[in-house]
Amino acid sequence: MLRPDHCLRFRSPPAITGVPVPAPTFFPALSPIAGPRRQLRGALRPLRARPALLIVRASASMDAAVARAPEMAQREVARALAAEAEARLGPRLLPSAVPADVAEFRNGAGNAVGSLGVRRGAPGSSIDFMMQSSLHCKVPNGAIDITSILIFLNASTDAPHFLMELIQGSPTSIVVVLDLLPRKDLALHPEYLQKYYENTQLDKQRGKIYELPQTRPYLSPSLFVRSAVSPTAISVSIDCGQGGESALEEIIRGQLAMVAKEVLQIWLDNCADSTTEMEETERMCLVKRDNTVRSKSIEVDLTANLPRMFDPDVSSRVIAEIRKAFGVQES
Amino acid sequence: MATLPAPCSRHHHHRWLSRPAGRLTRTYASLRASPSPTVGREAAVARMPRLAHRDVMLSLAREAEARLGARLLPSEVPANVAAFSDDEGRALGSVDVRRGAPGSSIDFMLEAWFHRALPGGGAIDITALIVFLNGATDAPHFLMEFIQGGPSSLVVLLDLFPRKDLPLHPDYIDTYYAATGVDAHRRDVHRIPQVRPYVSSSLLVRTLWSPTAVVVDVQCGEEGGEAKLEEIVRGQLTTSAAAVLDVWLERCAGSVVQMEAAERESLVARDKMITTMDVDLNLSANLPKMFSADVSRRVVAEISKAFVGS
Repeated sequence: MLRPDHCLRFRSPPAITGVPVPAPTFFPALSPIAGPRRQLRGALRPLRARPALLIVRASASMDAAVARAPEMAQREVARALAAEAEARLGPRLLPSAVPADVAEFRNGAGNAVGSLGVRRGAPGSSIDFMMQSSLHCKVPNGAIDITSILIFLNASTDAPHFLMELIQGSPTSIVVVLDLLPRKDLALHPEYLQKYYENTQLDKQRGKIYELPQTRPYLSPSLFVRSAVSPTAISVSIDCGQGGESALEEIIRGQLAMVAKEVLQIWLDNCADSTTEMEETERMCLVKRDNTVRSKSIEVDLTANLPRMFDPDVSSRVIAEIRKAFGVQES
Repeated sequence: MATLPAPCSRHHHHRWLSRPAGRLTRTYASLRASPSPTVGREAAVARMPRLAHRDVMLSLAREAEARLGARLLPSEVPANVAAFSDDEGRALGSVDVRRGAPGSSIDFMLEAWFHRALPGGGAIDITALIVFLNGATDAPHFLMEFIQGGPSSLVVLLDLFPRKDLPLHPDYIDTYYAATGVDAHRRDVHRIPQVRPYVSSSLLVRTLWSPTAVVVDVQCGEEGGEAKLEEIVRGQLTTSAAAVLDVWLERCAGSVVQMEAAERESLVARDKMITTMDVDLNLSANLPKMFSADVSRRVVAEISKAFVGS
């Protein structure tokens, strides 16, 4: 849902040589990872307590042949959240059917690695799919790390979708988008607003993030994305300033993790299980709206980012898998 | 859409919106001689304490009127709504409504000017300029409002007010918000250091704004704040507001859009639903906090009548 243009300077994958890098790279310039080892998403992985997690290059895996995105607070928080969601949703999610070369992928130059997990909803459930993605890309002055979780519901319910996206361009700042995406015209449906946004006290959660002094509102460069989020959406950049690495980590593991967990709980309690009786025209409108939101989020978010970080064959393969999950027609 | 705060320290803003007529023709049977709106407005505002934001709004209102020209009919508002006072002059107001001429895309233009001196000193000053379009077009309405609760702080609302469910209509976003470049003006306002977003306590109000809306609180603090606010109002805010009004006049006010009958009906119905909800909940509830029950009733009735179109 985001284009992190505001804080990040994307280049086409830079050559590693000639760029002063404080630690040895751990992305060997090899062909795409073979085999489905070490899934980044999905099953719970033991968290490693590591003090300097935000200095990404210092946390290099000892196994240089397997490149994966570095451990970071944002990934741990996202992983815990995804695990919670998967545990609660249980058999309502089918096992992942993502091919191995999309489950984990990297670019040829060896400085970007990503993972994608898609689990479709089981027949009869309200879940359309759950998608998790994690991207890591070295850039001349650091790295970009993007982690996202998106749980889309289908047309058997009108309840909001769940979205969390974390974009980190430096060890001291992060952009957070966390929202229950509305699926109806809120102006015309005050009862929907009441049921999912007022009664659930979502705004209190929003307040806990916005009251942090290091936050300021983040407005997506995409007008479409701005329109799609709810009135209680958390959309902020958290900037701890120079030397603020541990302050940011504390916020991510602390207040942010807590609020994200609360919002997910609210979603699991009020949305994940729901079914809604709808007139046919109402359902058609809902589906159309969902399709538009999904295609615009793909278009905005991934079409811009993936080809910038990964080789054309890799990014088109990954995008194709995402489009398949979204059910978006190739244009 | 004046948001009328309760006269206490905590801002409790609601927007009031009025119900548009939705009809393209007007009957003139009820036309009665009334003071020309400019005389009513100018005279009424002249009685209020001088405020930079009122000066700005005066120039914007004059600009809007001049550019809309014959597309606006003369005012039919009675004299005691065009200018009114209460509580021995401690509350002053002026409301004017000019309906759109037959064949134009304008439904009405509403101005509201309120000044309320508070018992403990200080005052609340609210000024609004709203131009609603009708079913001949789907273009956004124009909305601008200043809410000043003290000499050094000001809430500013400025928007091309959307008339469609935006996520369902990405082309609408492209046409009226992307292609017009109107977000640049929002960015300009947000560059002012004393500006921060104004977040309504009403979730519904939050949903109604466009993605490029200026919805801000300008806080200039105690030390030299009054002068600083005036500088900002006469400077960047004037520039940005004039620019947004210009975009609206150029790209929305004169537009005519072909629509299927069902589409037009749903557009007009959506307009009605929003304004009805807000005028019932907010205008009727909040105007009496500034003015006596009698005055409020008269003013609300005139506005509602104009907007219902009967």
